[in-house]
Amino acid sequence: MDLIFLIQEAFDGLKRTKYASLITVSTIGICLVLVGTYFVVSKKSDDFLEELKSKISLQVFLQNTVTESQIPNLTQKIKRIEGVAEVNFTSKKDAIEKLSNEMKTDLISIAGYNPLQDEFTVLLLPNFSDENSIKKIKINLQNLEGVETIEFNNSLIVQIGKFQENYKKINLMIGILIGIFAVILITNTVRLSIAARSKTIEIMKLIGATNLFIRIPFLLEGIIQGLLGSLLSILAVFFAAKFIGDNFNFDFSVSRQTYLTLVFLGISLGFIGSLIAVEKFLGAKKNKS
Amino acid sequence: MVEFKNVTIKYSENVGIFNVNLSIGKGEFVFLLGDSGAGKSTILKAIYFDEIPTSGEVIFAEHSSLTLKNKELPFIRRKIGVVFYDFKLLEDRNVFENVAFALRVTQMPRKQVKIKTLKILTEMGLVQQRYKMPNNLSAGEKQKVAIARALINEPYILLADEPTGNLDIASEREIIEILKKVNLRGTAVLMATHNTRIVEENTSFQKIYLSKGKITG
Ligand SMILES: Nc1ncnc2c1ncn2[C@@H]1O[C@H](COP(=O)(O)OP(=O)(O)OP(=O)(O)O)[C@@H](O)[C@H]1O
Ligand SMILES: [Mg+2]
Repeated sequence: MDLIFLIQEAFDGLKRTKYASLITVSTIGICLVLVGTYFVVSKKSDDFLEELKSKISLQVFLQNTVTESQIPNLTQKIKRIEGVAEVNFTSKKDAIEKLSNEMKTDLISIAGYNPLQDEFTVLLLPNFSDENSIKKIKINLQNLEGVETIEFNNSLIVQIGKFQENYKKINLMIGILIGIFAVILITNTVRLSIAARSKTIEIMKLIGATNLFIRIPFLLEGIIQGLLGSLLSILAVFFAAKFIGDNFNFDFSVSRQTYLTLVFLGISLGFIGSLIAVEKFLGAKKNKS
Repeated sequence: MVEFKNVTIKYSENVGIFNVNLSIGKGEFVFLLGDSGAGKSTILKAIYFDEIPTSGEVIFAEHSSLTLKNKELPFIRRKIGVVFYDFKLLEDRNVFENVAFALRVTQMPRKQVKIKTLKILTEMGLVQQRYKMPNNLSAGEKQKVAIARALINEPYILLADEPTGNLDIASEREIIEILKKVNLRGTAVLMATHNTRIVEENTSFQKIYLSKGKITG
């Protein structure tokens, strides 16, 4: 197999159909920018929700009878409860000092005593941020000796968490739609760019070119178009992310995986598009035998 | 070399060719005559196995339509030269590339391709035009390019489907002279036409008459 000739044929083909190729490459690029944007945006919003969830906490207030020596023990017990990520203790002494500093007023002298209670801030694991899990954790905390009351001030996040399930479904659907759109559009533009040369394929068959010989340059062309299109989309996504990062003080870094996925998609869709087209024209007149 | 045994290719009721028997030997020059729609192109297609008989058998060299495998087809096609009234040149390649392409597909080394292509272009009087695109050639020149491409693999037979259909009389005569020369060197020629003038001017060649898909003489 004269591989060099076939590769040359592929590049010649691209050169000969300059403008058509340019349009094909741009179409692939635009499609993949859409796909890339989807990846980045859905990743960012996922990250954002996860971060919100990782901040969910319960305030556990202790009875006044609990002594300082019991705190380490109690801390261990809380840590062992399923769903607890982190436990932080704040003594009522620290709490009142902090509050007094913030208000620039000596609160103890106003009240005549320290009105606050010792407290634990219990951070939850993201997976335990739904209402049921929180209820269970609350019961477990309530059962511990020395616990007086438990407060939960993150119901908004729980609501967002509920919404997240739906959001994931919607997001997936959007992703699938964009995916289908990209697949159809890319394979079709590549297909059409080859369909325009069905006469060439017919002549090649007439003068005794084997199917492999006809196929390879077209497949290479599809792959090259896909590659160029994906590089175009990478440039666009990269500079868009940089622009947003520089001007809006918002971290929009795009992972290497996203870039690799775009290249992979470009190449494989270019390949598939040209494969469909070439096979169609090669099989245009099948022998009945 | 070419043999039709009771060949029928039926496109639809009474359309196609029916019970055709014919035989073309090595080095013969045969006119295939008949009105438009008589089935001339269909017979040519059957020879290069672009159409496979509904019934009967077409034999070319050692290949039979009954046992033909798709894989063999490209290699058979290299032993059959074809030219058409519409030339079928690759419009986006120049004269040299058009002719060389028929050799390239056989995986011949580049140097040899170049030598052979230049040689046949010289014989055809086209070497000066080798960098021209088909669009910038006269119809007669285009047909000569097509003939050069058809001959470059040294086929057993040259099939010409109304090769002068798009040409003026001067070019027509030139093409016929070329076909005669090709024939003198041992390549069989089967030329389909409904141009009676050509037949009158070349009475010494064999003729097959076709009417409504059947051989009439
Ligand atoms: N692929 C096809 N499908 C259906 N009918 C066809 C097909 N090819 C040819 N025919 C019909 O078969 C008949 C013979 O066609 P063919 O092309 O062999 O005629 P021809 O003698 O070459 O005519 P012309 O001089 O006009 O080229 C015609 O009636 C034509 O319409
Ligand atoms: Mg015809």
